[in-house]
Amino acid sequence: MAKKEKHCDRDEVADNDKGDQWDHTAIDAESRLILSVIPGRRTLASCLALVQGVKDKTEGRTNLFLTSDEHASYETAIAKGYKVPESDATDKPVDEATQSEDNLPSDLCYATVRKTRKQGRVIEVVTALVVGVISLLARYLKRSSVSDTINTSFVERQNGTDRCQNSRKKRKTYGFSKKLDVHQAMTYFTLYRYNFCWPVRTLTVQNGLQKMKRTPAMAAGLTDHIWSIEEWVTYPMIMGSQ
Amino acid sequence: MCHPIEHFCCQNPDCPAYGLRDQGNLRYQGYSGHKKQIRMIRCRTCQARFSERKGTPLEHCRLSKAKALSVLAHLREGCGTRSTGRLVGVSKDTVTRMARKAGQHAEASHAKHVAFSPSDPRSPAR
Repeated sequence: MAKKEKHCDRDEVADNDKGDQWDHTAIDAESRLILSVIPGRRTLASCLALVQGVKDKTEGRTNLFLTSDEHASYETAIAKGYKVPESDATDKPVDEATQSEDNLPSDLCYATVRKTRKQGRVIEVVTALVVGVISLLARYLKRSSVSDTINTSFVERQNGTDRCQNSRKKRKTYGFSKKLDVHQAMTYFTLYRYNFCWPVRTLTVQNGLQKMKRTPAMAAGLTDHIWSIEEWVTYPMIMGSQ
Repeated sequence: MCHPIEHFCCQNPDCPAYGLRDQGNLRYQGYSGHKKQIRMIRCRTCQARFSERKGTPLEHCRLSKAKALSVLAHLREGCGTRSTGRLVGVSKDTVTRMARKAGQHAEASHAKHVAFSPSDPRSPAR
């Protein structure tokens, strides 16, 4: 945003909105549906908002397998977001309690991925199970139809797609964002439109003799056709400014 | 493309049917805009009259529909603000304004179409 992080003076009010901006993205690996996006600085508040977004979009279900990089705020945010209230825990009998020692649901699984790079190449990938037990992790990996390892490949691939679709995120160009509100607006526009208007090659299925392209929203069962940009844009909404 | 009337909702915040779709309270009534191409909608509950563009990035837009959509299509394809302006033939400030509106609309649209929460009466699919 506006200038490089190393050139920003954090004591200057004028530099508050400048410097690095991250897209905190939650994606469903199987349907490639983007559940939530929080553009902003890499803080606990952003991670909390993202986890809350995921919780809302998944009906508060806890039988989830979450993966992320090793950014420490994600672990804190998941611990806060999915913490079982004390009152709920005490109401249930001990044998039916669905919580672990950290007051987290026992069916929640969270793992991290650390990539070590040398001269820009990944030379080592280390995974770690942070929340949950190995047997549960094995069950979730077996249940998954897209991957049998702990990885963050799907969100990384999506970041690549987004860089191509949003000129503000292209590397080494003068098209970078200069104003925060426009940057956030473009992030929401490109990422949320992607769900309904962008057919993903790997989601293509064989429909009789023909191949049927599918968008993430089609794979998630939210719609039955690929939306055109016109259909997306002209669908009337109740917007905050009105 | 024209959305069916069921996709619209009353945009009057004081109306009891504000934001509710497919309630049978809306009907098309007349046209407005240049060459009278924009349909107007009337709410029978509150008698409010509003444009079919209300609640979309095209609201108050003086560009033709084709040009406005072209601006957003260029942005979506990875064109920058200035290059979009040059290619479509509009000012860069117009492109920025449309991007802002499209972002607001996308946020609202995501909240509506990708809503699974059981406490939310909206359906996950439209």
